[in-house]
Amino acid sequence: MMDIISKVIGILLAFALLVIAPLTINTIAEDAVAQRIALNEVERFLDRVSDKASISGNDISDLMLGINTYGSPYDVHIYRYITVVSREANYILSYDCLLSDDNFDTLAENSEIVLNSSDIIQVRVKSVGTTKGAKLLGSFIGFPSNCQEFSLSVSVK
Amino acid sequence: MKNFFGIVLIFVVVFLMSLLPSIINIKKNNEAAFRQTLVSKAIDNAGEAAALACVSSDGIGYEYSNDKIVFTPDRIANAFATSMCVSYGIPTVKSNIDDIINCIPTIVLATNDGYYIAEWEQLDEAGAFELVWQPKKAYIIDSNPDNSASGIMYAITLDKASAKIINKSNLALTVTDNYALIPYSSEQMLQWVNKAISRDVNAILTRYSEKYNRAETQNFYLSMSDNSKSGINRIEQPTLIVMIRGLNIDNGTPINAAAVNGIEITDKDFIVGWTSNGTKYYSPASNLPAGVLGAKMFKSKSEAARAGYSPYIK
Repeated sequence: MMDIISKVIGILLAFALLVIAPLTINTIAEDAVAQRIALNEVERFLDRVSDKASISGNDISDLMLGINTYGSPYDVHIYRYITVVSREANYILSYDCLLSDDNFDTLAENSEIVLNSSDIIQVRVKSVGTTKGAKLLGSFIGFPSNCQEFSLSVSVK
Repeated sequence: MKNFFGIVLIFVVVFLMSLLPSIINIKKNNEAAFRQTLVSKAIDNAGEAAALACVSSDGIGYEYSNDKIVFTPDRIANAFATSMCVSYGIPTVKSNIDDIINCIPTIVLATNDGYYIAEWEQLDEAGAFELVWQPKKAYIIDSNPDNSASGIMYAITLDKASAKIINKSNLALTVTDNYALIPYSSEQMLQWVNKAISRDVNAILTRYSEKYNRAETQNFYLSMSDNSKSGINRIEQPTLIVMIRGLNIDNGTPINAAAVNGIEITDKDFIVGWTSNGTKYYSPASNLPAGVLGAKMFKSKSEAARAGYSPYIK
């Protein structure tokens, strides 16, 4: 009886050692690459938008394609903040940063939104669902599967 | 055989147990590396926003008419902090912006004919410390620095557009664009400029450390070679350097960094003001709504706001 139990334990451990461990390490690396690719794509998009001072539907579809190209699905939102100066009492000026209501999610392929100089464009990226790596870590180790989320912004030149 | 199997099993268990922390470590290291990249990109972009703010803000001597633009440093810290806030998705309210500005020991704005430097100062005895811009300093090379009554001083510009030569004995001033009159090579002049700036920055960093009782050693320097792997490359054109010390936004490791930006102006835009339905609006000329009549031109958003116009947002 003990023989069988120890054999079963042995097989389980061998499975853990030979399959689960390398798989986990591999998927963790994949997650990191996907996240890095998403960040690079966002940076590329922001550079382009900042240089040409406009956002077109093509820019956005390029960004979506680039971010989702590695397999992990991401939710992307673009926001435009307009830096404004307004006069308060006694000629005191206040410098503010206001969120504009431009809707970039429904921007058509060939239409374009022209941006002002010194507007701030923010891209928020959030991973949708869990990745394989997060699932493996969560189910075998109990590591919390934190949602990957970041945002980056640039000032329009 | 049974013993052998047991020994192997023990080895496997030990191996797996040692693998577990390393997997978690890999995961954590990946996260940390990603956060670090994000921080560096956010700081780069914030530096760019700050560089933009020193061009588009208005101030004394701001000239639009003759292709001459004077950099003004008044809004750099604010623009930098605002951009950092937006990058991290935190609200751009005054307390958040002040928290970020508190982590900036000093800012240097080097323009063609001199440099500005900011330092924390207590404006009155009971008041709080504020990041205050010092008066602009010229790039001066003194041929006889030990004696104030003899020798010649040269005030140079980075783009070699003009130079001032002052004879200290009779205070005669010559303004010239002939750099052959200056007995120093371009290399020597650049070294002089960079030494002056790094000396000032080091002095301010030391005072800043003393204020916060930090025993860190300050070794800011502008490297003298073109492609140095340490320090910051030397200043050869208008440049903005924002120093950051102990900035902690996302509960990670505090950041100590320097954001460096070169500034070059290729295009400029006017601000246009108009009246629509009795309300005065202003907007950049490149983004005017259709059918605007009776427009008035302004040099900057601040000037339009001062004249009673409100921002136009679509």
